[in-house]
Amino acid sequence: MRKKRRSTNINAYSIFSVVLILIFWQAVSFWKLVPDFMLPSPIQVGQAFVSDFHLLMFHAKVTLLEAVLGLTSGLLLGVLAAIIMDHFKRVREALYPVLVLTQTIPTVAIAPLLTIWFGFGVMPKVVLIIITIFFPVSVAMLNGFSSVDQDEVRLLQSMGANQLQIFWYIKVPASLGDFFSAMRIAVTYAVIGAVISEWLGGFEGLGVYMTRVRKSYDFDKMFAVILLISIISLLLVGLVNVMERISMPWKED
Amino acid sequence: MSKLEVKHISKSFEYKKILNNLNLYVEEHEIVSIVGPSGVGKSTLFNVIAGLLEPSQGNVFLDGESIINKPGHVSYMLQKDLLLPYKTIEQNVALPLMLKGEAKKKAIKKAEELLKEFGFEMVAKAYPNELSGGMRQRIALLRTYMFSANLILLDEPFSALDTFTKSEIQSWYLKVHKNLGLTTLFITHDIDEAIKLSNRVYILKGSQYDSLDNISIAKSAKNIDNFLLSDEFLDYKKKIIACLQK
Repeated sequence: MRKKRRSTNINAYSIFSVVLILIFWQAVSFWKLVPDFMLPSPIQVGQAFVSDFHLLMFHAKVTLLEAVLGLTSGLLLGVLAAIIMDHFKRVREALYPVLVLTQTIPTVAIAPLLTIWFGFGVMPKVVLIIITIFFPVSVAMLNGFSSVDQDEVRLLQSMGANQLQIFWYIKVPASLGDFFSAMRIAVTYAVIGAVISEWLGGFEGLGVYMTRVRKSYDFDKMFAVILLISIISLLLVGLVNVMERISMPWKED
Repeated sequence: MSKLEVKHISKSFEYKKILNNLNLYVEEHEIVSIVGPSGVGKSTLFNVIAGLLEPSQGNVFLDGESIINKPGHVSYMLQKDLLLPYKTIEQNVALPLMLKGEAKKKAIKKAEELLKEFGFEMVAKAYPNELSGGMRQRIALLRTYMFSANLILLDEPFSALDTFTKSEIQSWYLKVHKNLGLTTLFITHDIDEAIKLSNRVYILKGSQYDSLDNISIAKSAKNIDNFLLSDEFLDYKKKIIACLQK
């Protein structure tokens, strides 16, 4: 009865175009159209990735920890804010413009300030990630909560349901789709946020390592870091997709 | 004592009077219809009876007790089946019990039994979007029944279905109503449907009239072969149309 969901993420065509780009890139390097030190070839990047693997993993662990901490606190705060705004109209009217305002603050401008306020440790990174993902999460959840079918709400009321039951049986499942869409955006923001924050102050993490190799013109190593950041982001998005599929079985077809 | 008594109900929204001093009653095991054009306040009346809306005046008694502003005493079903899309069929049918505080396992078990009794065990684990419109409406009726068999309010439950499915589900409902010993108050704008299903038909015309016309459909009439094509059926229909045009 159930159809398999059509995957738009990975298919033969997309793999083909990636391979094509890599071949083109390798050719450019091979015929020295661009000098090595400016643009290392994909093979050189791969070699750097392998030789630096342990170092990369060490820094990745730090970045990942920051991203996960920021992500979970940002998600929790965003969902909580959405619940409160959904329940109290006045709070929504008071908070919504502030939320929009947080989205207009340039991340790069505020990151050094956070370092001054919270030091060089994990804290400023987590705060930066929270600031970046709070808006998309809370707005998406608010949208999900307010888009529930009012007739469904009335039906449950007629069955004598209380506010908590209406929230649990209707609002939560109805907004799960919005939650996962927001989470997909949030995970990529979280990784990038952590890296940017590390650029601007820190002792370890992929951002710190990236600054270091850039300053010594080791561009093959720098591309290896970029590759790793992309892989981490993709894996996290994949994880969100799996979680979505498990928790929303009714969306199968 | 009647099962349901609606006494002197009036309801105004701002300056507009929707319901004006309405009286009606439903006896136990009856199916009573309320017919009338759109916008005369049928659904408002239902919301009052369901306890979701407070009337400006009057009272509603179920088994002699006032149920004004007390939702949760009568079962209520709308034109849309409103099966929750994120729950399986058995979870949907079990929902009223879970809302009343029954443990999930027990509620699901009762839902399974009910579904089996009606031959729907095949779809118990399916989601609503995998079912046809007629099927969903039947499941919604079972859920309504699961909530309470005391009094069932149906607000145009079949009006979105095609003619064949509609006729089939009407016959099914008559059977279910009899087998389970239900009492039903039914809103429709379909006069044929009202005559086919009900014991009595109320005609609601609007707030400028302060009484409801009430037409009884004789039990013997329903036993006539091809009742829907008979002269008796047409006579009832003429009577109702005459009332509406009065």
